[in-house]
Amino acid sequence: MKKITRRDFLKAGAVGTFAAGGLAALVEPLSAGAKPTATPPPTSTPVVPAGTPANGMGGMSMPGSEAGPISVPMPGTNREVDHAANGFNPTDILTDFDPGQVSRLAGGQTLHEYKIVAGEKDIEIVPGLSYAAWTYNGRIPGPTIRVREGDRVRIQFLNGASHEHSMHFHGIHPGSMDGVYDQVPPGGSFTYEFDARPFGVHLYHCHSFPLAMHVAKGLYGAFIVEPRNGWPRVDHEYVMVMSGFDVDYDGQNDFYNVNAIPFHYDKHPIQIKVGETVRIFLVNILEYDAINSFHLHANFFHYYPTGTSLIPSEYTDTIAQMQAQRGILEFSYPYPGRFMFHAHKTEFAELGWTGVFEVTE
Amino acid sequence: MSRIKILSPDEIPSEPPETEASVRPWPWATRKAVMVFLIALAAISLLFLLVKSSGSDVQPAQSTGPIEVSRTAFSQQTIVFTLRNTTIQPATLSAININSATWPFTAAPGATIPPGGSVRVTLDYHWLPGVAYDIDFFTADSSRINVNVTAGSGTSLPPMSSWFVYLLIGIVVGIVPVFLGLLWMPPLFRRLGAVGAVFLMAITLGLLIFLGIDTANTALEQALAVVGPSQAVGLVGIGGVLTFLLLASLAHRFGRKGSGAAAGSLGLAFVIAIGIGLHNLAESFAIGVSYTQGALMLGVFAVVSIILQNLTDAMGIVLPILDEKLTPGTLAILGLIGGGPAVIGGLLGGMISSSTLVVVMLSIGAGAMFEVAYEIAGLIRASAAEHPRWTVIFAGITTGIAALYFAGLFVK
Repeated sequence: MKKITRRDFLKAGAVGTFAAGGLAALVEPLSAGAKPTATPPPTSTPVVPAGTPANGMGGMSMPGSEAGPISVPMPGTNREVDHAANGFNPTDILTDFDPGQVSRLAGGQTLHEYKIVAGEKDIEIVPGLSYAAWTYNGRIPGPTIRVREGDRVRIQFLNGASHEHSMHFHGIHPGSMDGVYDQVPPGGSFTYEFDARPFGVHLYHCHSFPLAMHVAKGLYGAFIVEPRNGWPRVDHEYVMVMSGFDVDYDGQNDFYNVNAIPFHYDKHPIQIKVGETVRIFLVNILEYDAINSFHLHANFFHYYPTGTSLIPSEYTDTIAQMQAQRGILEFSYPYPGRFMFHAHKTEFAELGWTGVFEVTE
Repeated sequence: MSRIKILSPDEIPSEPPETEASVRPWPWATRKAVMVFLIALAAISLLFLLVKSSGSDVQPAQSTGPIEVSRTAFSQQTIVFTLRNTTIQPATLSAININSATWPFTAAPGATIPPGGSVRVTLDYHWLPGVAYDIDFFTADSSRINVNVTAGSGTSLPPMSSWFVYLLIGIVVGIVPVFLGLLWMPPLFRRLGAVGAVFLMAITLGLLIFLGIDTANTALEQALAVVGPSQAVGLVGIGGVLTFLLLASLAHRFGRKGSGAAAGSLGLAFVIAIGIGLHNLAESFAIGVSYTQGALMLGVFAVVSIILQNLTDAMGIVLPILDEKLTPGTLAILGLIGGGPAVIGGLLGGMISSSTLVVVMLSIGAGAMFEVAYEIAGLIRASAAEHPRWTVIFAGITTGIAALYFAGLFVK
């Protein structure tokens, strides 16, 4: 064998270094600081002050909280969406009943006028995830229309989006006002006008095709028609529209919610007091899944399906609604504490359809 | 009395006369003892691997799209993912759903992954052993990356460290067979006639050709599975051709039978050993990357076929130096060069879960195999120059290819 000279050694070394360097370039380095440690520090999560339930369901990971010292990981997200950037806040939407522009017609009938614009908007539904939504008036759900039975409703609908849209109301009205055969093209407008009947809690949504997508992308809202003499007075009235988001368009919901933002009322519990009467206008517009549900913790409620009767049909703590079913729930909490409310299809609950009532003395 | 010859002072030779014992510095008895030791070592290692849990609980890389989940590790009540961004745009992780539940996570160093970079994502999740988890990763632009992983099957025995497992694998499939081959082949060759020797060489050639094609095919399959702009298929060509040329140039340099019949052959043996070592490195790297939790997941037949490969590859190493005087030290070095990379490759593969690198390594292995086949073919041609035995050679090549083909059928 020929003697290995220094030159050979250098050549081999150079080749070897090139090879190693080439291979190293192909191997992505594990990101700096990501050394295997027993408990990786949560560098991306902001420090949450104790007592603020911003950490998943019920905030049970806070040591020393009333709920107990156990630190159990629970579903949720550990950051918050930017409500200001979204342009709406689910906490406000709870009580955002809109009578519109109220006036009186010649025959004495009350007229409610609305201007509703369909648009396209990127909404942060889950922290860091931007969803290209379609909205009525820039919010999800759309404006909560609240009128009295027999009132005239006039809605000037403008299409500011790039697809055709419409508004279809669940109520009793002429065919020309149904929002199906008169689709509004982009830039067009249509004025829906009808008398509000029957009393109850109803809804409206887009009826353009493909229907599932037009509904699922955010074009829906509650339509409440009070009985002529109104409902009995309660301390709190809330509107809750249940739905979901399919962010990757595979025909399956990836997140579920009440009033658009998953886990919102879990991070920001609804504050009520012991003994206060609560009425919830609950609407289900969930697409892609057959049945949605509502379960209230540690309490029972009277349920009025569709709100069309003043006599409740059930006294229970869990009800089911398929798409476009809706109803009124009435209850009051006899005891203080933090009480969850969520879908009792657990999958929906853990994917965002969870909230909390915080009942204080 | 007549048998004793009294030498006069100038008849006394300065060197002791050559005897049988000094031509073979390693007596057969010692060889047998070493071989028994090696077999015992392999058996014990196999026993370890099959009986105990590895505990590494590391999932293979999954090419799922723009974000690649390059590693999933289940540890104490935690799941840790390593996500890699294979695109040229930064990607931001926004939400994780695991088995239909949105779960809070921490991402180190942050949720935004730079192009080509990685992040470690930790979920504080109480997983159950043996359960499959369907995990969705959502990015800021609403892409959903789905992976399906099965949690480790945890046993009551304490887990072994991964590096120990790779060491054992390397010993079982790499070091032991190569050393066994080096010890066993030369005496075997000497016992066979010239025909038998040529037949064995031809079998080796057949095996090497098949291995080369098989490795190249595996490299291409992996390359097609790699998502991203790395042009992995091109890497196969680059790796294979460059390795072939590099080894061929080394063989030409050091393998020349220039000064004396013995001079070039040892160099050629070293080059062949390097080639086989590269192939072992590539194969064990691929094994390391695809190693999954629980007991050794390689099929028994796959292990056996790799062991047989290395046994016969050792034949390739000793062919150029059959008539040489070999010290145990030289044999040991050749064996380490040929079989040692099986250990290193496994460790590297376990540490660096990069599907692109698997492609490169496999292409290097394929190129190495083809080059060694080229050298063996040269040796066969040299031996056939005096006595052409083409039928024997053809039969041998066919036997080698057929053996691996049918073994492959069993494995699959």
